[in-house]
Amino acid sequence: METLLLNISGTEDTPDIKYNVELSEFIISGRSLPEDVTSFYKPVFQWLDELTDGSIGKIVFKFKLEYFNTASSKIILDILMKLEEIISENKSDIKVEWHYSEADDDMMEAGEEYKELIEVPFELIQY
Amino acid sequence: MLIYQGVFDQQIVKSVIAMTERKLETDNVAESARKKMFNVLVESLQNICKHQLILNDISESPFMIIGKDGDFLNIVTGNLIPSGKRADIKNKIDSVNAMNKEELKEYYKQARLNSVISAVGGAGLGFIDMARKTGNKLEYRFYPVTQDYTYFILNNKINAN
Repeated sequence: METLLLNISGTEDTPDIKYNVELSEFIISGRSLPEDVTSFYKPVFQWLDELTDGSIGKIVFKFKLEYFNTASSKIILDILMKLEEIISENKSDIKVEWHYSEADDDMMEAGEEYKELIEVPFELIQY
Repeated sequence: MLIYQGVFDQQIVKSVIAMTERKLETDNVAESARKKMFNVLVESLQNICKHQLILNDISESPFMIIGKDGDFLNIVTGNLIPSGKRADIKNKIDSVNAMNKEELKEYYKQARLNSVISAVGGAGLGFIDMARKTGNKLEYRFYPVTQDYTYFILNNKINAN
């Protein structure tokens, strides 16, 4: 399988997004309130499209966000729906981990709401 | 606490957030209230970034006031809108204000499923999110400036304790 690269460094208003090939881990962390969500997340959707084309092994998608705005909330839903589609088409071994801080009830609730909506193995993990 | 009037862009949003966070921390405001403040600030200021209308007169440019009033932190924003949009904004806020916590949760869920990111990058979920995060009603007023333009004033109240 060709190595797909995804490596976006975080800033004060955009998240850090990385795909670790060795661990087969996709990790998004930090804050997401970009000026233009569509253009910011475009590389992620391109990367996901490439995933769909190739043969996919096991991948864990880790969400470890401190904050996201409403536009990012819609984008995260789109990412999760894309994963749902990849799983149903390729029978891939994809798992989502939603990490939230112990003190952050809103982030926990956000994870629960996504979990209810999406047909993807989804684990909520407190840190 | 903080007043700004002028053009709003992402740099201004970032600066206002950084200043407000520092100020609230210095004033020992509870972390939960600071978080709510952050949420509402981002949504209300990015709303202005996306929808602001700038006419020639500086006195009609968008503004923001952050202040503390008794047990509440207030975020007041004002920006010009085309008068034709007034009814739509009023309906959106009135329906959000009429809902309880559970109804807001369900409404947000449905609205997010149906939402499409607009040309200016909004998801149309801002008012619902503000109401959910603050747990308070959104206060608003409209002041007609000319026949074509109206000032839209929004006040979000956050329990400081």
